[in-house]
Amino acid sequence: MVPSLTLGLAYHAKVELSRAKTLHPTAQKLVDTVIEMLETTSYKNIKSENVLLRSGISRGPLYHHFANFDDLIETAQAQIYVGHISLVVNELIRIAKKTNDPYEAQMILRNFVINQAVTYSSNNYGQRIGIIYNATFVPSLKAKLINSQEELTQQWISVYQLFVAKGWADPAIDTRGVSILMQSTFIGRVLDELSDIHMEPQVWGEVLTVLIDSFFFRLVPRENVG
Amino acid sequence: MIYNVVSVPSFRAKVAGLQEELNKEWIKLYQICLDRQWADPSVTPRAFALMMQSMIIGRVIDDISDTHIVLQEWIEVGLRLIDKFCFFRVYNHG
Repeated sequence: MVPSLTLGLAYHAKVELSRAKTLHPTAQKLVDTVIEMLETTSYKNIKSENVLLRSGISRGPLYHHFANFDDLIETAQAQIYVGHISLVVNELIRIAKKTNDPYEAQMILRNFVINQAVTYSSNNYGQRIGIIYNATFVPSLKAKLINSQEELTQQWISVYQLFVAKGWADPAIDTRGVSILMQSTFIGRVLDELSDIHMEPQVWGEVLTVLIDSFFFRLVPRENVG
Repeated sequence: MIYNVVSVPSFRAKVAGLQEELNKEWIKLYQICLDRQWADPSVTPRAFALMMQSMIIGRVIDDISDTHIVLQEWIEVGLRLIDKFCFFRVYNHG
């Protein structure tokens, strides 16, 4: 079944790996609250009292789990940064584990990618660009992003190796290169926002499908594609 | 700069024309490949334009990682991408 995604769901489905590894449930609740607020408010305008009020958590735990309020904001930004990509990676893993039929996998993935392209808000691409921009001025945020970024890259590498192991992907291709390329497409779509002439999201989904097919299903004979 | 363009409407208005000029150059290239019956006709020239520019912009991802990609490997990935789109029918005997 093809997941139906909204921007909010994409955020809240984020980074299961990071969450499980690093954050206490109370800390994650604070982060989730900030992520919700960042959907409509600039990080500069988010105040600690508003986060505490909205989350129902008192001030003590905030400073127990985070060095300061900026640390909480940066943690939320790092989770937003990896959120959407992790969602796609998790889906690739799920599909690869679900079936040994590459044509079925291609079809499920195609539906997922097109659905993502259509439902995902362009606002989020701008938000990710903004987080990278902020990181150039804020060393502590940059340190968090570096960790998150390498984790993402490793996730993509693992997924690619999974497809290689199934005999679908080409082992001769550099896995880090594929990983960066795939992530580039998620960042780069923001360029469409800069032009007055925009691409149909469905068309972008189609081209992403071609891209993913060409790397993750490179060794699967084309003539049998349904 | 992209962040500023996205977040400042007046700046965006100034850059929109330039971005479209860049798009047109990539679109023109893909159209040539289509006319020569090399390229994948299922991919629109505008989608190709955005894909190639995404690859160029997106390499910034490598800058915020501690482990960096080897330049030659990145070029190889890029060439495979170009083969897939621009020379689709050449390699698929279409």
